[in-house]
Amino acid sequence: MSDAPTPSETIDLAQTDLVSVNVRLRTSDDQSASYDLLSATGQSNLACGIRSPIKVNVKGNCGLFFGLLNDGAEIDVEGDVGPACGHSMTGGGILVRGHAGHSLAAFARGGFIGVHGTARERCGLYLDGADVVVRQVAGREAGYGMRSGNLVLGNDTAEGLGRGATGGTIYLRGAAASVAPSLREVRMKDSDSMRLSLLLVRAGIRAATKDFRIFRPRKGGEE
Amino acid sequence: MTHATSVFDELTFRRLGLEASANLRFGGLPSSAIQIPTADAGRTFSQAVPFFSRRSPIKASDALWSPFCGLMRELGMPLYALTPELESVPVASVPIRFTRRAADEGFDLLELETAEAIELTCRRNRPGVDQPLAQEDVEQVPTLPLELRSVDELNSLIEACRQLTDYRTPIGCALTPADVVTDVRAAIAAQFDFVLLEFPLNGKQGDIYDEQLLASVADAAAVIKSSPRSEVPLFVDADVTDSEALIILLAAGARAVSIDALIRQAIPAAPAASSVSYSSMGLLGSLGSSTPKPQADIGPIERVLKKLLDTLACRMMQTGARTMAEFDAGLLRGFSERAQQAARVPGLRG
Repeated sequence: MSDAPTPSETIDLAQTDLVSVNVRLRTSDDQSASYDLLSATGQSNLACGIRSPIKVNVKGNCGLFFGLLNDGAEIDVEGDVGPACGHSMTGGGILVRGHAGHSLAAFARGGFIGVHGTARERCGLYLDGADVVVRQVAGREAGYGMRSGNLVLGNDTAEGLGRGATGGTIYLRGAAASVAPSLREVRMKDSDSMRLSLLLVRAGIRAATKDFRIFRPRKGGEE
Repeated sequence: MTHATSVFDELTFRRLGLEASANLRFGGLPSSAIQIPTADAGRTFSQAVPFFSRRSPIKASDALWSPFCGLMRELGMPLYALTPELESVPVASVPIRFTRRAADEGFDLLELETAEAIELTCRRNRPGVDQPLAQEDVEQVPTLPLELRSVDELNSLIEACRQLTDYRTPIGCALTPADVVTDVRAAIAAQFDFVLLEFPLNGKQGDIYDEQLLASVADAAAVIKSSPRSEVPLFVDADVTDSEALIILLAAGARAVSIDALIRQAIPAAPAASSVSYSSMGLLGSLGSSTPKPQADIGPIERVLKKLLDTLACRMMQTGARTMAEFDAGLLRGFSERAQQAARVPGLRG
């Protein structure tokens, strides 16, 4: 029995209709399949609604709603992603080597999203169970309306951190221009440190957990 | 999950034969059917009667839920429900299912794939509440879900939903009227397949003679009619508790109206507790407590909906309207004194 990895299927996005690419990814029969998507130039709605645990590598920049409703695919993007990447995601993972637009991981209920660059305003908007890691600066109102899950910010963040959040945990390494009054800083326990380490490892980021602070919403804590 | 699978099989099956739902028990009204064209030019969603339940007062945990679903199916009236709410419903009772995405909730893949129609809630941005970001960050469009900043983003979201539904499912927009003309125009421009006007309840019952309500419906209908996409149906969800009033809304320009308030009035009161307490009677007590609950009685709701359909049939015959498209405000004077009153509302066509 051979353990040889399944060869990747290469799709040149410059030569292929976007809808057919999405259908190909969504209906992949082979759960161990791997796809290399080349020449991404900001196409919107790429890699939406994939249920199978396939691997997708994207070279180039992706547009709006990249990975919308992802439920199993492990996606690696060598470029930037537009607004609302990982929207309503429920499983799998998305690793973005570049920057992310606004509303990263909005409404995501599961899975993992890592961004090596910056994320614009409202990353983790209404986050509801997924894990999100942003290595560089995050824009205004990160964790807006967050309900559950983990939001790891590896650098500074603009004003309004955690505005309207009712649950979940925010890990912050740098400074926040302002923190929502409904958030309180809590002591990092071993379990928090362990969870943070795992998330950093998964995002491929090297950092010491002791440099982070933890924020959680106060109980019944609207502003 | 075998049961759930069979429910979804049934939903898939229903996609193929929606026209069949025109066979109604209560003096069916094939002419009262409405059509919603979808992005797939080869398919039109057909709804047998111009009524639907969107905020059903009967919940999935109620004893009446299953019979209610069965009744809705039998009448060909769509019901807004989530897939888990239908898992306990026998396959033969699963109605046409619409689903909606609230402005502060995400999407669900299963919902998108199995619903007959999808509604996205869009609401006017309230500065400092919905969009506390600086105004320059948000394109000045009145109808955008929370995570969107521009019409381009809204169009992309609609396109994504269309892809995930194979371009076969109508995607509509729910608006809370503020500036009806602007909002509906924006919704039409955004290529939504239907537009729903949701009138907030605010704890008070909607009054069909409230000029604002009727005029809003008439204005919205006029905007749609004068647009290049005049076939887009207008749905109205208002807290109207009277059959005649619902039909006046249809004449005012709505293509389908919500029956939730009507149902709420008709829900039978819970059976009164027995005057004899069995709790302290030992074996007899336990026998008493194991007595099956009385069968939920869907009769009163059935009668109210039958009356609604009969009234519509009667009004259509009275006015000579052969289809819902012909049933407009110009005919209002023909059918009742109350309708004549409504016909005086400025903005009603005819």
